[in-house]
Amino acid sequence: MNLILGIAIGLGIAWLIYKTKNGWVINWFGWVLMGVSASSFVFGVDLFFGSIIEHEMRAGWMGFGLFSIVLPVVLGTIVWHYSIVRSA
Amino acid sequence: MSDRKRNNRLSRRDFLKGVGAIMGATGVASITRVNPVGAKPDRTNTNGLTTHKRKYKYPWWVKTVDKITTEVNPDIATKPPMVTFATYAQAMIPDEEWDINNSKAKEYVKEGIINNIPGRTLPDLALHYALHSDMTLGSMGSFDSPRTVKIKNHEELVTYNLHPPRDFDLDPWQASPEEASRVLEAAGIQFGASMVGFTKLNPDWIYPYVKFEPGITEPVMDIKNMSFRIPESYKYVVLLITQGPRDLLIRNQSELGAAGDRATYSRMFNAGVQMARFIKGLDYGYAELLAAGPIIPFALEAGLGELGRMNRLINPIFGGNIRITGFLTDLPLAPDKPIDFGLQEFCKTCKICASECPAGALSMADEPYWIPANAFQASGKKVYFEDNLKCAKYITERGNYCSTCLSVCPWSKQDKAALHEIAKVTSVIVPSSGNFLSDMDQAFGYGLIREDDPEMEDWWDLDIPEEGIDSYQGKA
Ligand code: SF4
Ligand code: SF4
Repeated sequence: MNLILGIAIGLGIAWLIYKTKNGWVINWFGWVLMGVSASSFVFGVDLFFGSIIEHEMRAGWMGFGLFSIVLPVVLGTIVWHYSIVRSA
Repeated sequence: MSDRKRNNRLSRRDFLKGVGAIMGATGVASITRVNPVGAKPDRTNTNGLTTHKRKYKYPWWVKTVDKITTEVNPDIATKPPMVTFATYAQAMIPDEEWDINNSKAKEYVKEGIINNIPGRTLPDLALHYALHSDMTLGSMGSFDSPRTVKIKNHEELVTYNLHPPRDFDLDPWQASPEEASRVLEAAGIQFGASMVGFTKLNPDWIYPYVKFEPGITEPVMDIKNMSFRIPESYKYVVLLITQGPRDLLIRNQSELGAAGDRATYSRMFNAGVQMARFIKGLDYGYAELLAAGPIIPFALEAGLGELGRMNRLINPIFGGNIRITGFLTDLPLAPDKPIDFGLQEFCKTCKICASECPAGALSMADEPYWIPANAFQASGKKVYFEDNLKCAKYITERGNYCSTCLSVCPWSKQDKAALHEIAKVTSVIVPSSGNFLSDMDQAFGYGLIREDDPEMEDWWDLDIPEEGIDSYQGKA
């Protein structure tokens, strides 16, 4: 699981680096919000898989929905609209 | 029970209905794609019997076959002679030879103790025989073990086939208190304890009928005359806590929940018997702490937890999902120190145990107090005295043991998701977060599985670890 998460986050970072080298300028709070988003996503995934082992699926779904979907989507939307300057 | 918390809860049933509707649609679609409707996988063996669907899955490289892989031929098979039930050793080795072998074994064992041979030292030997507590028949592999044995009572369980150094004309084990605590802790964990702690005897907590006397070498209990005489040299206390199977315990207020509670006590009992055997195997004495005084104050002194609102021991790793046993001994032990993880402040605002107690026995007061609830409680401590008569009445009327308060405590979580660790650290740094964290706990759906929850009987299909216990809790 950790391997898949690592690959997903690595791909995300690689994509961001590629975009910043090709015209995107992201301001500082954009980076902060993306960091928070990524941490929140990982946290939600951890809670989901931890809850499978704990047989606490309600908490698992709640946590995954909140931390891995809702929060990253909200923060991502803010970043998308307010933090990225596309020069190309 | 407080309706505030109950009514705010989205029940497991409601939640599962929602998730089930979504998952059901996708699930049915995918299943019907894979298996044609009406086709059932073949689950019969060559005898036509339906085969068991094992929960414990082997890896892919293990295949099931129709016959065992050892060749057998019933036509030429003969059966060995059996002298007694289930002990072929008696048939193979005659009594005289058995005695000679025992004498040789005794010399071999003694040589290990005297020369401190690694793997054969006195603590190593004591560990071996401490764990030999479940033999109801004689066995090979333990010298001097009677050839057919039936253990009749608890006393025999603790003393059966022990070989303390006096059996070899040797002195009791000699070690520094630090070394003794180190060895007893390792042994206790092997016996099934989740944690082991040590403290010194505090006479303030001992029951009035207990007397410590210089002239005796063994404890003497006289139930008729309400007296328990303990050798004066028994100044040290060893305590063991055992955690319970959480998947059963969160089904509390049911027979399944009671099974979880009994399982916790069984684990405590087994670990306790083996610890008593271990201490005796080192040639020291022991007395049951439970018969001499309330056990929780000693566990607090030994750093095994703090006292929670529910007046039970709350351990920072296992929460309230534990049972405790302990012994007084004359083996000098290095004591542990008490601990503080902010529970006193946390309990002031958490109150989950009190609001979930089905008997309404636990206090909802904002602060602890000095006045006991009834004559059956000791005064002189500032706690949330509970109405223990209500608790006892509730339990006896249902015929199954309630431990709801222990199970619902937010500290009783498993540690497989980082969320729990974050919540615990938060409550230590900000103890007044009790109310917020307990609300979060319920919002996320932790807590009891009740009779009307569809998950109640799902326990039979869960993939649980051995004895339902995660023995790596707090360690990984
Ligand atoms: S054991 Fe049950 S009835 Fe007794 S105090 Fe705890 S929750 Fe209440
Ligand atoms: S449930 Fe809450 S109030 Fe009760 S003992 Fe546990 S932390 Fe304290």
